[in-house]
This record gives sequence, structure tokens and C-alpha cells, in this order.
Amino acid sequence: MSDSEIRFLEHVCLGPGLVANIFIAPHKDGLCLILVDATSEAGRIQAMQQKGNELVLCMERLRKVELKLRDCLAQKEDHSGRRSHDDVKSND
Amino acid sequence: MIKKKICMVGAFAVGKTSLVQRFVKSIFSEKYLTTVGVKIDKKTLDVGTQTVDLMLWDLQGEDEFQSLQVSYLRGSSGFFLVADGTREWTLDKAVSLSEKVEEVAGKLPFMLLINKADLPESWEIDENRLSELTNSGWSVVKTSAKTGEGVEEAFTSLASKTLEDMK
Ligand SMILES: Nc1nc2c(ncn2[C@@H]2O[C@H](COP(=O)(O)OP(=O)(O)OP(=O)(O)O)[C@@H](O)[C@H]2O)c(=O)[nH]1
Ligand SMILES: [Mg+2]
Repeated sequence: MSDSEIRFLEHVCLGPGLVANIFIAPHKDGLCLILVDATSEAGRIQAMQQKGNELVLCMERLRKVELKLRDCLAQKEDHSGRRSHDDVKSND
Repeated sequence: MIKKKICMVGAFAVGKTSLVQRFVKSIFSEKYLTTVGVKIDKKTLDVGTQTVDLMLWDLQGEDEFQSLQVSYLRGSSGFFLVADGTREWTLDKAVSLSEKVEEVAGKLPFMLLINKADLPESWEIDENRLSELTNSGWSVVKTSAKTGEGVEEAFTSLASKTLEDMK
């Protein structure tokens, strides 16, 4: 990226509940900053992103519980399998 | 005053915002509020004989729909890669993000933070994997934004690495 290019910073949080899109352009005296209010746009994205991320986190947790459950069941089956094997042996 | 820009990079919900909040304000919240775009915080730190203003750029995490915006990385002196110790895939994401950051910003000092160290019962990240990364030259630290474990040390350590880079 060269210094003569216009830079763009999307959704910069400037304070509680205040978000701006910032354009930074080279200027003969230094830099020119243009701030465009993006508070409501960022709010909408935040709400969607929050729901999406929470859903993925829930699914990840669910997958973990499912794996643990399968583990428990496998252990239980293994255990009861061994017990009936032992019963057969003692009956012999 | 020396100013250093440090970026927080990682997958979503790994604890980037929580780590910055712990370090800057000594607070922690269980409530998850995802970050959109970037939030910038500042903390002044004494590192040896020098005082440095750390500008902490807390970036939105990567998810399926949003990827890292490289424009935020410009002018960084260093960065934290953050992974969640209870979600193994977030370490893979951190590793791939390190390559992306290097492509854009060049070689910068960085540290890998394996966060949520207070949740050992849910831990998923294998120690061998971390040893491999350490052996390949990475600085890896376990942190907890909840208890504060490793947080101050990590920020101070990265700050001093960025100062060494100036020498
Ligand atoms: N137990 C525990 N929970 C943590 C820790 N750090 C963060 N959390 C929780 O993890 C969730 C996500 O934390 P954030 O700091 O918002 O994560 P983030 O990486 O900034 O997320 P995005 O902004 O969506 O990318 C929140 O519910 C936090 O309370 C930690 O060290 N221990
Ligand atoms: Mg965040």
C-alpha cells in the first residue's frame, strides 16, 4: 500500500455507541480525515453477528456433549459386555 | 512518548476483547458481546526505563462470514494471536492468521495467547502442539481474562519485544 493511496478503516468504534467509517487521504498539509457515521449500520451487523456467533458456539457445545455421551455409552456397553462374559464364565 | 500499535487477532469469541478489558481496566464480564470492526484502547506502560503508550486495536474476530480486514493492520508494531484453549480449531485459525498478517504487515513481533486457562476441564488443545510451536520459535502463553493469569506478563513482554525491534 503506498502513502499516496486513500485508506479506508471500516467500523471504527469511537466511543460508547458511536461508530464511524474513516477515510484517510494524503493532503498537501498532511492528512485529510473523513469520518462517516456508521453507527446504525454497525448496530445492525452487530445484532446479526451476535446471533450467528452464539449459534455456532451453541452447536460447538452440543457437539462436545454428544461426544461425551457417546463415550459414556461406549464405556457402559463395554462394562456390561465384560460383566455378562464374566457371568457366563462363573456359570461354567 | 513512544507509541506502539498492537493488534488483537483471532477467531471469534476467543477472548480478544476480554483480554484488553482485563489489561486496561482490570475488569471481566461473562457476557459475550461480539466486536464489529475495531475498538481502540490505550494503556501507558513502563517497560524497563522506558514509558510506552500501547494502542491496542481489538479487531473483530474471524467467523464464516467475516475475514480479517487487512487495512487495520497497517502501522502495527506487533500483534497477539489469540486462541481459545477450550476450542481446538481456534488454534488452527490463529496459525493461518499469522501467515495472513505476515503477508500484509511483514515480520512483526507477536505472541500466541491460549486463553481461558481457568477452564481446564473443557481444555482441548494438546500440549504437544504447543511445544511444537514453542520449538519453532513462537512465544506461547496461557492466559485467563477471567482470573488475570498471564495477562499483564503477556502485554509487558510483547511491549518490550516491540521496543527491542527499534534498537
Ligand atoms: N472462562 C473464561 N471465559 C472467557 C475468558 N475470556 C473470555 N471469556 C468469555 O468468552 C466470551 C467471548 O469473549 P470476547 O472477549 O467477547 O471474545 P472476542 O474474541 O472479543 O470475540 P469477537 O469480538 O466476537 O471476536 C465471553 O463470554 C467472555 O466472557 C477467559 O479467560 N475465561
Ligand atoms: Mg471482541
